[in-house]
Amino acid sequence: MSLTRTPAAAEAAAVAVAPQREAGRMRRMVRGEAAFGYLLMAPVIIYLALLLLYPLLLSVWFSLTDASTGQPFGSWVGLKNFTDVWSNETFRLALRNSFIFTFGSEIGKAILGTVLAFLLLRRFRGKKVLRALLVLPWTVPVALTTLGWLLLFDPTFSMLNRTTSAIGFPYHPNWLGEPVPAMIAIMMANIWRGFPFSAIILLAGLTSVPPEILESAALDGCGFLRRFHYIIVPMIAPILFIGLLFDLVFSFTDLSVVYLLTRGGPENTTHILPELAYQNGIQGGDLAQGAAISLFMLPVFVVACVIMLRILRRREI
Amino acid sequence: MADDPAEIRADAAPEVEAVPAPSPALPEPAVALGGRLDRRLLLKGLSAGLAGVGLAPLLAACSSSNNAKVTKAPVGNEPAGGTPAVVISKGASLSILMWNHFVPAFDTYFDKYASDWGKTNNVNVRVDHVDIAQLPGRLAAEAAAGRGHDLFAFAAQIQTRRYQNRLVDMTPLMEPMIKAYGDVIPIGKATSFIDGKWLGLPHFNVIIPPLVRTDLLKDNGLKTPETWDDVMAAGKVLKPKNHAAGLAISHCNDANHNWRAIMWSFGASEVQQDGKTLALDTQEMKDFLTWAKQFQAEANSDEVYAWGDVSDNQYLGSGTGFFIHDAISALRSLQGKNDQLYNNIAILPEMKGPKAQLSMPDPQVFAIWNFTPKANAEAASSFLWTYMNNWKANFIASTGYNMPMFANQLVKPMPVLSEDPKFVVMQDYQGALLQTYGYPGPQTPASEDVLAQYIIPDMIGKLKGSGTVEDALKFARDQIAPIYAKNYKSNLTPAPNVTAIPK
Amino acid sequence: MASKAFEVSAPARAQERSPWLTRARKESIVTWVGLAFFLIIALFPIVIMLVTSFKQAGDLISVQTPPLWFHKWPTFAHYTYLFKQTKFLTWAWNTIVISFFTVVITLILAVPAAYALARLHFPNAENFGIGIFLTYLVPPALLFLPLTIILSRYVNLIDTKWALVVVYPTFTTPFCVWLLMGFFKTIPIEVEEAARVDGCSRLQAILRVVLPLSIPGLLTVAIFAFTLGMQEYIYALTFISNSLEKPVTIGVTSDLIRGDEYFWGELMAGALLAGIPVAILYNFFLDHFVEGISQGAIK
Repeated sequence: MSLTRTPAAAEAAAVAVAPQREAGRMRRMVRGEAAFGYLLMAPVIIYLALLLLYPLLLSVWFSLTDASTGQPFGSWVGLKNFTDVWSNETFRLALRNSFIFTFGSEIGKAILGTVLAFLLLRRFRGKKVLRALLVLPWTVPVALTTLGWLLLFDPTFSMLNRTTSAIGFPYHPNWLGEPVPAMIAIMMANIWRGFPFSAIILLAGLTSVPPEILESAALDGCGFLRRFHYIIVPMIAPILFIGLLFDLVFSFTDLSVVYLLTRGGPENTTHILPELAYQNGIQGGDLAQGAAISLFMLPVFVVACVIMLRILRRREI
Repeated sequence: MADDPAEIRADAAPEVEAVPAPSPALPEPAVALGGRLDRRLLLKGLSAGLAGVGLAPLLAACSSSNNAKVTKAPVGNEPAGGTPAVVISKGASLSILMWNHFVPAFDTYFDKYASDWGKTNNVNVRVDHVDIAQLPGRLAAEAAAGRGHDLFAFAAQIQTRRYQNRLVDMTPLMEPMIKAYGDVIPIGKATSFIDGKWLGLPHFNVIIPPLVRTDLLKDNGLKTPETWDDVMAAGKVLKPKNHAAGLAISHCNDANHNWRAIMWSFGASEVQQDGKTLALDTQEMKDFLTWAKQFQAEANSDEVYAWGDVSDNQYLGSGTGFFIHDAISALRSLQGKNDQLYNNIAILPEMKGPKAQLSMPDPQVFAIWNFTPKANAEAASSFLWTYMNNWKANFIASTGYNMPMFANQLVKPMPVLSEDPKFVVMQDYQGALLQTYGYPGPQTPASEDVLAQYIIPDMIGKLKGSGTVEDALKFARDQIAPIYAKNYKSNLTPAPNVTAIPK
Repeated sequence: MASKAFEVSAPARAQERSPWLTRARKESIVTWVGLAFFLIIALFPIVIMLVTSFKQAGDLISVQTPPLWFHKWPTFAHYTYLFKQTKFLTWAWNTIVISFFTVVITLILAVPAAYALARLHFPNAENFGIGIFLTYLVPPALLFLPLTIILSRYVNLIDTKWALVVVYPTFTTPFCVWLLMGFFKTIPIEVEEAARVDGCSRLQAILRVVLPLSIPGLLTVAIFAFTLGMQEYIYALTFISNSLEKPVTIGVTSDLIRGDEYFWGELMAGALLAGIPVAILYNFFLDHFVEGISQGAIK
């Protein structure tokens, strides 16, 4: 907490906000500020250390031992669990699926969310009521709506297929019974539950873009996409960025949709990492392997996030 | 005298559903430090309390300190089971973890029974229910924390061997029960009797029989199937008419059960009798896979890759499927709602394969953690004793669902089942016909991992389309071999003591 | 209504084109076609759920009748069952309690941290900020075992709803800190300075000036944390087995899925009864929410 390590930028900022104050007082303020800052940070740091860091370290420990649910404190095996899962076909499929699931869902949510956000910017009658209906997918608990999807996809009653065939849509797969449709199905359910939130985030971004900018771009004859890409996106980038990051991680670590819809079937083609970790680690009892599966991508994400967040913060400062 | 089933049933389990009177508290510990219930004390408490009840003579016979006055009481007037097996210390409470029974009325019954028992014995009782699929996660958490429910049920995945160092030895409770109700059927032993100790108390099996549409068979001039080949033959006729068979090939419990039952009936299995040596590369396995490929193509519904546990019930309930292989809830749920369909569905004896006739039910086993506070473990044992002696009422309350695992309770005519011609055949589901995963070896953590990862259904799934028997075998080998290798290299999960597994 | 001011004013440009298909009409048509599309997407599963919740059992598992409509008379039986035979109201109450206290704890943790990160200059502030976000990356699938050890050994909260209240802020806090951080940056520092010149201490300035100005942001975070809290599934699944302590998500799924029998009608009724009030609540606060995020995220 030494003063000497205070970044120059901080001093400069302090000078900028209080240019008329004399230097000594400023320095005292800075010192007091650091103490106050740590004080304010203390609760969240202590809380997260106890309830996230400690469990995380324990999980890392599990992944380096041969722990099982019967014997949570096993003996050291090094990286064996990681090499074992890497050589397992099911795991690699799950790894691939995790990326498809996460990014596929994200693209879907982004497209639907963007269009919906622009629609909601417009003025129309009954907006409040329609908006309430449109956020339903996001507010009804996902564990329960997924059961609704289960009913929709059910091959015997196939409510979805019978409805789509009634309107002449030609694609009627056995949704949860074939590898590709099953991946589409879990992504559909995930996109559906998430797109209203994407729309809200975007709407928030768009409302902060001065209307003149939207207008002038239109008058200049910019096409919608160009206008969106060159003018609006850069303006709302910070919120898009943090919203996207949040959503990506959420999709990557959430297992409820897959757990409730397919449990990784048919033939392991729809496993995603957190769900596979749960299946092998908890249901199957191989705690160590489960931990290895769920921690496998963590280093990559940590690095990616650090880079992205640093860029974001630099931009803002 | 224990050999006379009729007498014992009459004596030990009158149909009165009642709860015993509270017993004086004994300060002595009934559970020794090792977590093993003290047998002598238990029997002392038992026989003292049981004086006047028909079971007492049996206990006296096996108790070394025969201080009980043996008098035979009039049958039927006394409460079931007499007095608690173990005297409950003051301040005991009892929390019980159960799954959501397929028959909701049974949960209501059980909860009330437990609560009444608590009131009578001044024990605060709480019964929690979770979904059957959530049990392993919940139990893993309790074991890791060293804290949890005082009494719990394993269901479907009977993890007695996985948690063998964390469970109370229930032998003292089991011995008098075996005396009273006869030997435990093989599946009960395979799931609960570990290295010479009863780590679980076999509660019941959920039987999984074939359910078949008799009207469809009759209309098409087909005979009632007796073998799996008969099912295939009928399916070949009925599948083109949109009435295929419905055996799930997916990540669900039903798929795990059904394909194992068929596999065993072909003489094939994942592992040999020692529970360690893989048995995948056999002619029997190839025959089974060849059969399964043809069955899927010609007799089974194409939808089955998408199925969950509920799907075959609905497939039958919708009037589509002609054959499913599942618990009788599929049938019971139609009763009173679609009587025409209900009347057209028959429960059959288990199908025979080329080598054997075997069935894989869903067992349920009670167990007690060894970290359970002593007073609560006593209360749990005491409750179990009373409850298990009330088996007949329990069985009736479950509408014939909870098939007991003691030989003398499985004597015909059984209540409920013998009264309804539709269910009479259920009485035959007993003895060595019933086996569980790990068969023909013991139930091991490795076999449990294979179960939890749905490897057997996935092996069948690999046969889809252009998939060959070799593809399926290779997949199974690649998945199963590391699991067994890992489990037996690790000194933390002891290899099953083959000699200790009762036949 | 925050968004009103920024809506693209269509009528102003309406006169450009010819008689019938005015620009305004065209835009209106586009709007409604788009909305219809989204309504269908959003509501199709919901409608199926709604219809299912009123269907008689025999009507539901029938392949002959159209799934979207009733073949037999609609019934309230599933709702009756839900209220009479299950503890639905208790579960709903638990969800409210859990989500409410999740919000409270999240705010207590996130507000000071976000303020510090946004306003104060201290060594490693950036690293702390990033570190807090990174905790959000930790996959919950296996964390619950270590968490169970903590919750049952050290604080003995397992099997109570308070276990969830303690744990849920682990996944709400990181995002909320970042949201609030952006938000606090939008409040001009001069306002705070002025309050301090008037004799307020730093803390007083925060409490009397900064927080009241941040209400839209706080509301945003609150709604967000509330929704996440009521959606959570995996922790609740393993921490709570006592029926009286279950939140809706677990109560409904664990007590209405019985082995191989799904109580479809009751499940769907429970889902809708849990979700619709929140949708209304959401709608009510949506403008604040949007305003909060937009102020928070863009300086």
